[in-house]
Amino acid sequence: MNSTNNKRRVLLAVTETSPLSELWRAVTEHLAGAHAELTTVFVSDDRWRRAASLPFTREISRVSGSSEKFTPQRADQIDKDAVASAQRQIQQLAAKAELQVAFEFLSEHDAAQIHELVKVEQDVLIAPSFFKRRPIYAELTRLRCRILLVDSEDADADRTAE
Amino acid sequence: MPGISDQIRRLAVPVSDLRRICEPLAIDTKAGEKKPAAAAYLGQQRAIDAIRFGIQMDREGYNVFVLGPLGSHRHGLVEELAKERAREKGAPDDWCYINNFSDPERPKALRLPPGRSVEFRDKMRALIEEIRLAIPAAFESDDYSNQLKALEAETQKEVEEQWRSLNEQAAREGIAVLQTPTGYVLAPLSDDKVIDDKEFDKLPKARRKSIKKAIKLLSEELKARIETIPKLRKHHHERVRELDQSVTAHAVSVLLDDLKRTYEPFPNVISYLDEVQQDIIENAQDFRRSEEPALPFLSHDSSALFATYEVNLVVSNEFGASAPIIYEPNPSYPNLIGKVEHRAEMGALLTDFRMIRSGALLQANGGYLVLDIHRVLGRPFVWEALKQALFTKQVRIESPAETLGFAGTTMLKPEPIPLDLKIMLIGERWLYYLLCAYDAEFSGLFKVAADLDDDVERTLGNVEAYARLIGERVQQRDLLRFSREAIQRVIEQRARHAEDSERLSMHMRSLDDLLMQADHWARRRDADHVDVEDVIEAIRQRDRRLDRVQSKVVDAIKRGTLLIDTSGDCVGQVNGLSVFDLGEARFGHPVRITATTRVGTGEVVDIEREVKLGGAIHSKGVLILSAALSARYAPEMPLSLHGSVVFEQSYGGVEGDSASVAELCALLSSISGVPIRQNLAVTGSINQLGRVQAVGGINEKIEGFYEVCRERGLDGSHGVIIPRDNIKHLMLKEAVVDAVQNKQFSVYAVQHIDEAVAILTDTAAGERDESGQFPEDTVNRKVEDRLIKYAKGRKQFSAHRDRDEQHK
Repeated sequence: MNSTNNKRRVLLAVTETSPLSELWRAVTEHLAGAHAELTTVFVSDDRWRRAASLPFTREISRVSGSSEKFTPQRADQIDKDAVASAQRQIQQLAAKAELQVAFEFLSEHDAAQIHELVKVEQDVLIAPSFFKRRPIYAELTRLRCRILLVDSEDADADRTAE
Repeated sequence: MPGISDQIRRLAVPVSDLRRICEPLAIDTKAGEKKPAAAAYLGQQRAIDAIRFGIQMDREGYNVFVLGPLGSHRHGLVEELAKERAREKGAPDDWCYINNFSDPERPKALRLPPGRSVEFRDKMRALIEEIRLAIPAAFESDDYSNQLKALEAETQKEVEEQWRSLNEQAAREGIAVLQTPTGYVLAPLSDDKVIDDKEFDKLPKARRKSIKKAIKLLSEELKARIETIPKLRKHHHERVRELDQSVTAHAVSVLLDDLKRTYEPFPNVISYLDEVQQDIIENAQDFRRSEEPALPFLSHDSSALFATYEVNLVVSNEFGASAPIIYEPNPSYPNLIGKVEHRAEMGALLTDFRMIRSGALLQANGGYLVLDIHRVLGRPFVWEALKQALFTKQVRIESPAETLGFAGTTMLKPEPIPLDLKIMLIGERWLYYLLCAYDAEFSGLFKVAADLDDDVERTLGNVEAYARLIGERVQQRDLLRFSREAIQRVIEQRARHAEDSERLSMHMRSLDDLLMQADHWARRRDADHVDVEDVIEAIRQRDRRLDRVQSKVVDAIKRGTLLIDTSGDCVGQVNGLSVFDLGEARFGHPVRITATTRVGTGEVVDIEREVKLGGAIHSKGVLILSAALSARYAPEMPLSLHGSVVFEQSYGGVEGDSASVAELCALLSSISGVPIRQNLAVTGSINQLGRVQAVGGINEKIEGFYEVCRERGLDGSHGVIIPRDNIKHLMLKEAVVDAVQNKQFSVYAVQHIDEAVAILTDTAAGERDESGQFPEDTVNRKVEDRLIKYAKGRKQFSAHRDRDEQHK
């Protein structure tokens, strides 16, 4: 991970379950008229990987109720699909807003690496508010830039209620 | 005792009998005169009574077959008579096809009083339009919205409650419910963090066991909840559907109740409206559907969604009108029975009850259907379908393929409609007789035969009526007024058309042709009315248009290609007369008939028959004359003659017995050696007793010989011998009559072969005296003497032959 220049940065931290519309609104507000570059940081959730490491965890189908062994391969696949999906959505939003966007990936158990992405104090990190409940939040609080938490819930919570 | 010349002179037909001039007319022929319509039915009282009987007889099978030749005013007569009864009967009920909601492949037929179907169709259209507005409006109301939201909230609450309790239970057990894109994963938590395998292994055994157990239990619970969700959704949809139906029912019933009140007296309509109401309630979502097409490439016709409620009028009558009288000029299967049309959509052929089309049977239902039998029989499947409809008394609209069981695809089966009508078939007699002979069902279905007369007796009253008929048709066709003399000349021509001076042809098409053509020639000379000269010109021009073949024949005779002598005399040779029928053209011309004789075994050979050029009737005539010969001469001796008769230079078929007098004369001349005059021609048939009988085409035959003689120059010796029974048929052209008047040409009428022989040979035929002998020097004596000589010769020959054979 390394920065490309000394421009002010707006960092958008997302997970695979982040509601993007509210976050994106905050991003565009901060970028409006500002000479800054946008970088999206995907914070990969390691819940899948951890759950998959257990020998007895099973994935229960939402449609049929049938269950299958939840393997690390399946966890990786879910992770990749989620990241790809989020990336696609952000690219679409950026294209619509005629913005350039860079992508960075960060595993939550290596959360300390996020410090390398912040260059100057004028940088802003925008993240969903549910990050407060995530392990990475401890690292965020130690960043030397401004942090903006956008009020939003983990989509997992919504989906659970379906 | 009168001489032969006097005898022959007495046989000459008086000039007055050659052409019967029309009687003076007492009617006014000026335009605008009111003509009684009955004139059109002149002489057809028998047929009229039959048609009226058939029309009035409301019993099964009393359909009418009108027999008569083309152009005999058959259609007009039938239509006019049917109109009389149609007015009494009044308009029949209307018929519609409507959707069968329980089985759309079998559309239902709906009966309504006359004139009500259009109104019903329009009311249904209006109703659907109103419902299309009323239903969405009902669903857009706050009441509906609130009720729907309440239902949704209730369901949502139930779902949330289920998950909330599960999550709580999991949290109590220290288990996380993680969501994957396709399901759920239950994993143990430690400090709100999913623990991995290493951390798990570090847990106490009891804790590990309890986690596994908790996960197992929660998994079962989760599965149970998952199974509950579809049920909850289904239950929710049912409740929404019930809500929708109750809202729809309310909106629809308000509108339908009005319509039901209007049609209260008609239980079938009420029953249909009930079905419509039920269907609308069950398919309320169609009325709320977006105007956008389901797929972008599909054309969107929102009206098609409501097509099932349309009313397809197949028979619509006007209240207070007469019963229908339909003439179907092209009675093809679909035109008669009806059809189910299809429309192409995305490469498929689709249909529904709206595309059912009625045929003439339904259009005429309750009234009269007029059909031409030759057209009915000439079009595939139509005759059988017509009989089927009459037998079953209903119209079943289906394709012929389906009727015959060849249809491979699913087709509509519209409900049959009861049939109650009178079929009026029109055709020529031979078709009627063929159907009677070969179709056993025909007589049961067409019990009334109305046989139109071809002609009418030429009484003074009928001539007056005929003159009125002419006036009527002149008016109908907007022709110039016909003068009295012109009408008289037309009437004479109608007698000629009837081939009978005592009758008038009722063939209306040919009458109209003559009237219109006379009108044409009158207009050509800028006249304000049609005069006799225009009628004569019309007849002359018509003859001229058709006389190409006749002129060729006359020319061939004139140039000696066709050998016809019109002067001198000759043994065993006589001029016969034959008639050519070539479509509209009909003309006579002479034909040379020769006979040869010798000793023989009593047979007369008809060469035409031997080479199969003679028809059966012609052969019969030759056999009759052979019998007449043997009966009249030397009856006590065997007829020891071998004779042969032939039509010279005849290369086509010969039919009819009208040459049998000529053939017998030729034979008698050959036997007797008495020559026959070649300036005469003879026609007539003969019976075994020598009686000369009438033949057809008499006028054309006389005119044919006259024409040949005229071309060669009439010298007063020329003439034709005809049967006396044919005098009444004479309606000769003016030119022939004038020639006879001027003694340039003669027409003789004979009743017996002896009279013909006398004229042809200028020699008395001879009658047997008291001793049974013919007088000396008579033709008959010479014939008998020769036949006796033949018989003796034959006897001697036989004796010699017997001796020779014994000797051998």
